[in-house]
Amino acid sequence: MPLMPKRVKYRKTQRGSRSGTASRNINIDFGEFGLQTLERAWITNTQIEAARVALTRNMKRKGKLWIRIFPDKSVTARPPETRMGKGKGQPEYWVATVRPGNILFELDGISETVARESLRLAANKLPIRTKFVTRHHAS
Amino acid sequence: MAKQVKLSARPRADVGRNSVKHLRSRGLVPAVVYGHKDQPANLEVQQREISALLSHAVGENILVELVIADGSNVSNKLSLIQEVQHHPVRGDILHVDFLEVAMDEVLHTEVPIEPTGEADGVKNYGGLLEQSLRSLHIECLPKDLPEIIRVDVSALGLNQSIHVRDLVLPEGVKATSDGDLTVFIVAESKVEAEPVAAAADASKGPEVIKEKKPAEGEAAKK
Repeated sequence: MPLMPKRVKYRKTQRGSRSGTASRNINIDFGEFGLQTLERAWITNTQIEAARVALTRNMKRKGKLWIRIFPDKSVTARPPETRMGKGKGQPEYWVATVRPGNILFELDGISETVARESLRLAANKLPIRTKFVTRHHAS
Repeated sequence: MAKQVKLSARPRADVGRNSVKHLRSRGLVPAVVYGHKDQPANLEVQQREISALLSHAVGENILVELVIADGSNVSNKLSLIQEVQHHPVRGDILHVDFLEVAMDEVLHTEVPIEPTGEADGVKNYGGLLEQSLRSLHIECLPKDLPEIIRVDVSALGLNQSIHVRDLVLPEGVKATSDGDLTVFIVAESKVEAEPVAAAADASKGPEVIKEKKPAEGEAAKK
């Protein structure tokens, strides 16, 4: 099942601002290793899922994984070859807004070598530049 | 015991975002010292010195002897690094808080906990060592302050745990965290089940709390 909220107050959201660097979710709080973003983007639910699958496959189902972002923002799109007007399109997919500094994933219970390789594979599924961080050198 | 190091500092008159930005561009870090019945004082320290101090330490729990040079007046203040603010991406040190302490007064602080050895449950039974508590609230005299608390987990079997009350602390150190809190547990590895059953609901989208309902009048006309 793709990541998306169970209940929302409104189906469609405004685009909002992605400016500045992250001020929350910037520390490794649960695991020992993490993946930190260096760019700002909207990460879609399918990208998060692809990264999660890449991570768990390489970890061979050992260790523990935390996904620190959640796609709670809907993005609408208009059907192709539609004339302008007739209001806003329908929600197509869900995204998480990330700013430079946000921690995306955290891992624990595996060696640093495995964690590095797993997070490298996961980072390849994401549309942004990222950095491997450890708890002691996160900041 | 936490090491005690000297750090030179100067009083700082520049306050506010812009002044502090200029200060950082000159290789200085804004800081503040407070506590122990004194008025808080703004300071500036050399970026190179504080970075070297932190990079050589195990944790950020360091006793610092601040040497504050104000013109010809030099005063010393024993303090503890209370908080270090870092840039979220670059990791630069943005600001440091020092808490002034007295050698003969008990201080309350947090000390990181680190496991040593490989747990039996992990080595022989494929379990996963989970650390629930990363730092411990303690009280002690500054001279007894440990830099880090290392806990031997090698005897820990599957589904066994270590609580705060089980920790062996250095002499003169007392834990103020709740004794029932779990620090380490060796849990069985869980195989994550793929959520398939709920996949059908995904196409519908989430439930909308404030969905508009057709007005009664409109419904009647139709």
